[in-house]
Amino acid sequence: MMTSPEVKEYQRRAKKKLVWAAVFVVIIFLLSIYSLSVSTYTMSFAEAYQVLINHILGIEPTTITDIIRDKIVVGLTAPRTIAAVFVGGVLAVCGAVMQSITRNPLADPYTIGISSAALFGTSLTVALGISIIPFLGHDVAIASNAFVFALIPALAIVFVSSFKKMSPNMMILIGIGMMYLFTAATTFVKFNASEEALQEIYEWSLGTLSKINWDSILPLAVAFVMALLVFMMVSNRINVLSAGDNMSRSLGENPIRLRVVCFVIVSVTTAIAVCYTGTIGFVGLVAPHIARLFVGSDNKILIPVSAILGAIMISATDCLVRLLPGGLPCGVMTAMIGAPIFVFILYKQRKKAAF
Amino acid sequence: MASSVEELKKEYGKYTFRKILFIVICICLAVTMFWLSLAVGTRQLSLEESLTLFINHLMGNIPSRDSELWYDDNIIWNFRVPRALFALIAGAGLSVAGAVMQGVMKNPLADPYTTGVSSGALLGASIAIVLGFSLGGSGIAGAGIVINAIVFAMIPVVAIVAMGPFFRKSPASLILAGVAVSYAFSSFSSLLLVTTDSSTLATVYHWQVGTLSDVSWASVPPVLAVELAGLAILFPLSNKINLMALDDKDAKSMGLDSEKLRMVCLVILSVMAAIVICYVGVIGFVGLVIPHIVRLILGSDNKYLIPASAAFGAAFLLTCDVISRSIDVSSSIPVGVVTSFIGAPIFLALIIREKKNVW
Amino acid sequence: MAMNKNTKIVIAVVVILAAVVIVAAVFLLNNNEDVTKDAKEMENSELKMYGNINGDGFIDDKDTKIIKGLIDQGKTAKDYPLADANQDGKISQEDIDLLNKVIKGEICTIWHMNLFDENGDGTMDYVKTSTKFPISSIICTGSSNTFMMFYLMGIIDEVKGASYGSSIDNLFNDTYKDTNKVVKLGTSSQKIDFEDGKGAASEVIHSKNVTAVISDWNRSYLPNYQDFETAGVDVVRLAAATTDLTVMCHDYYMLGLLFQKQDRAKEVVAYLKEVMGKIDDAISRENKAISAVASSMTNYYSVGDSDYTAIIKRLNGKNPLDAGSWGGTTSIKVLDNLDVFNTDKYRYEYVIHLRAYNAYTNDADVPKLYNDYTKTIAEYWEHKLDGQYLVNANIPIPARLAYVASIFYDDIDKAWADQIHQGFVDKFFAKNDIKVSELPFIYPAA
Repeated sequence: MMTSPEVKEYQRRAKKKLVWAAVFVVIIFLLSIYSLSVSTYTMSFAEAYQVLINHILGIEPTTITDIIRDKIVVGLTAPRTIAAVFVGGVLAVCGAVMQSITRNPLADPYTIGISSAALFGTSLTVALGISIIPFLGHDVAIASNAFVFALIPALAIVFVSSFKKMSPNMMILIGIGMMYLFTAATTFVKFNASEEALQEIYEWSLGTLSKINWDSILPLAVAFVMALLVFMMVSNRINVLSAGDNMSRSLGENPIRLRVVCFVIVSVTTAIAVCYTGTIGFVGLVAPHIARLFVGSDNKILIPVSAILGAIMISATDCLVRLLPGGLPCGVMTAMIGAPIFVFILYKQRKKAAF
Repeated sequence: MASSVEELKKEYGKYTFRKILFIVICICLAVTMFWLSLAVGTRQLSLEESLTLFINHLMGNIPSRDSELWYDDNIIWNFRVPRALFALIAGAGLSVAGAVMQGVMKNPLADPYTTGVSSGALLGASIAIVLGFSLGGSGIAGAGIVINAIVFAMIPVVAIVAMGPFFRKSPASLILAGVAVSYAFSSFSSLLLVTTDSSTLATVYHWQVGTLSDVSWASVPPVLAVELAGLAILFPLSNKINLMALDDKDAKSMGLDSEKLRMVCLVILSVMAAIVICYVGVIGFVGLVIPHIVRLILGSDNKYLIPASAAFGAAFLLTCDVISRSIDVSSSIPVGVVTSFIGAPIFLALIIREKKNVW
Repeated sequence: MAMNKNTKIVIAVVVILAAVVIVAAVFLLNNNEDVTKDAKEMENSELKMYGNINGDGFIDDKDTKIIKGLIDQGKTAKDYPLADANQDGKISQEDIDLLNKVIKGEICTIWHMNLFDENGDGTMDYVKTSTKFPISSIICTGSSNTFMMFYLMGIIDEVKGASYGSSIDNLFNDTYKDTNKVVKLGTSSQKIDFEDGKGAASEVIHSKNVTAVISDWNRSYLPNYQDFETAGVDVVRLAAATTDLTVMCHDYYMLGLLFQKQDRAKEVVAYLKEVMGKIDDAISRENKAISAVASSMTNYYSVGDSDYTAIIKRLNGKNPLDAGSWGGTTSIKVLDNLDVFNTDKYRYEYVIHLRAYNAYTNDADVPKLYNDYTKTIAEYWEHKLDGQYLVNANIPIPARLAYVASIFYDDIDKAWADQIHQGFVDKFFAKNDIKVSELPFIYPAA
């Protein structure tokens, strides 16, 4: 009846998931506030918050130190903190969706070749100065090139799927084929590039938030909102895909079309994120798995919780690299932290039938 | 009754004949490319000149230091010959490693680097280059770098074997374990590389990218020994590897311990791949695509797949190397780029036009 | 059972690994280089060559007379290593014969020191080497300083092949970058492949009878030098970017000797000594504490030991960033290390951008370059644009030093630096109509 033990159990579990989600939201909030005070410019928390409060209250900084601090905290650290949330959210959501629609736990937003295509676009600009859209400043040219090229794998998949039925494996394989092509082309460009160009390309490929400023925030916000909203809307349909293509069809879903559409949106939003930060790895792969440990595989709640966890991951690692000397790119940290977590996930999963 | 058995025998005979013919053709192709490759390079020598120099040297007829031919003989014998031999050996080894990996892992995406040997070797080489080991040897094939790379390349293998008791040794788990180890090692390399200056990064990058430009006679014996040993061990196992296509339980009922064989094969082919990486970096595609192409022509019987992959892989890599040397640009093209540019479209075409599943 | 097999495999692999590591360690430890006594003797020699017994810049009869005297006194090569010109272990008539051949310009093999970082510790060592004499045809690794060195010496037609990236001053476009005269040997200014595809050296070496390859002392230049030595091409290493006068002299005297341009070398070295003396006088007059940072890439600061920080140090400047720790690199990105703008930690009055652009031919939009290079730094630095200067790096080193000195020191002005620079142009450049004071070698022209 209404309060049968099974129903009670289900409600209890559902409440537990919501509690976890709330906990994560609180964590990202606190983390962001902390992150506002962290910078490679040595400042104490109090000084950093003082600068922020002054700025919000409209008080103009007077001494040279204050002016510089204001520039750094408001101009660099603040957008960086916000961007961390957006980028982490986009990558994690796209990762969760990719894993669901390809039914492959190793999928991440870069699986269909986006990262190598974007890297190729970047290397073209940095090493050869070639830009698809002419007359742009150096940084903007890198971003626009990366964006344009990152869309190519999705276009290819759309193109092929128009005349050929595609299984998930086939999509992955096409993505891998294109990854090889772009990697080869990038290798060729890099092999003859100057050393400074190589260093810049390498840093970009690891992924870093150091190029973020206020101009980047709007597109990233758009990408974040788009990914979250669109995928949450189709989350039920994505759930159905996990039953297998034939089952999905019998449930009234067109798996191939859904997959292609999802790929395109993943590509576009990831491309936007990637063109400002470079290809930060691991977040798209690991965040959804961690989320699954807490809230299960129902995409309706998995997607938003992945987003929050992705935001936490990138926020935390970015804080860490700002505290350490040497100006490390954020992607190095996500890899170093992500790899052991990944191994741990494998260990936990060993008894499950999935793999 | 008798006639249909006869016919069956004839059919089967034709069937195996085709496969053997393919292997023979590949071997002939490889040998022809070997002769051709002696004439391709910076120093402009005609085919006749190159072959004459080579055969003379082989027969002990080495020009003296003062003779005009000495310079060209040095180029042929000390640069082009070891490079061609290395390409043949490495091509064969990587292709066989790839074929076995795909059979043992039951996964068409597996290649010899799946266990993480390439990231291990990269970490070893990065450490060696950043810390400045380079015990003689020329360029990136310095002995210090090679030794360090081999040592570190074996760590992922050891790790996966050691982690064995904690995981099911199913193919999927092993792949995932390899990926995890790969990521861990790459992150350490990144950490190391991102804090060095740009010229060190350039050297590491040059090592990593898969180029045969720095191959000399010193590189050939170790690789030859390891690859031959590997082939000698793997080839007799081909029937057993065929059985691995079955589920582990079914294979057990036929008398095969799948998990053990998987581990053994993994270790062997990782060593085969690692030794190549340590000298020339990561040449992609050969291990992944060659076995697929051969499967499409010959089917999946490992008894023929393994030798055919070896022969075709050898010819393929040498051809790619010759191509990379003939293109007329004033910069050098790493052979890994050529293999990818040729291999990737073939790979894509294969996927798209795929009618029957051979995996 | 499976457990045991796995353990066995693991043990086997570990044993093999351990064996390899032990062998490698033994090999490494036995590879000590000791600095030879000869290096100490050569320390003050202006031409570090065996046979140059009096340590001046030339091989002439002064040297042969001294060696004759040593033979008559029965001295051994142990006591006078520099007298053993042919490195056969004794001082004899054959050494004098060799030197006479050199004086006459006849074909022979000479022994001298190469400037090279033998042990990989980042400092310049002296390494004994032999070179076929005289040289008329070479290839080189083309850093812009190397090309400038050749240009000052008038060594233009002798360069048959060079490896270079793209950023070299346009002045040399019709000499070293003209691929009809000089074969492009690859796109790295540090590496030349011997035998590879089309961009390697073996064909040029054969068709143009190249006998030597000239490169830099740094270990990352020409790492495959063995390939050249075994093919019969001598490797000569010089220090084109040095700010040390004695090393500069060796560079030019060596080139003068090898290419039989001793008179030209004499002129160049005389002028170098004159201007370096002027610079040292000028900067010692004023006793000022100068705190400056160099930048060689956009939005990067140079730290540690590099060619760029050497310019500042040579002029008695201090790099305040040396007090911090920046990882192992010599260039740090300012946006990733915002503490460089923290006035509580690091204070400096100057940011010197040493960059390559086309100044002699006046092709570059220098104000725009200045804007691009200085913009980000000006946003966060306490002095903004005041103290940021752009100095062209594709000019002779004393000129570079002079311009930077004119920035640092109040009683040295740009005109003084221009005069030094013009001296190089007038005496050694084959272009007659360049007036350096009108060209943007330093911006802003304060």
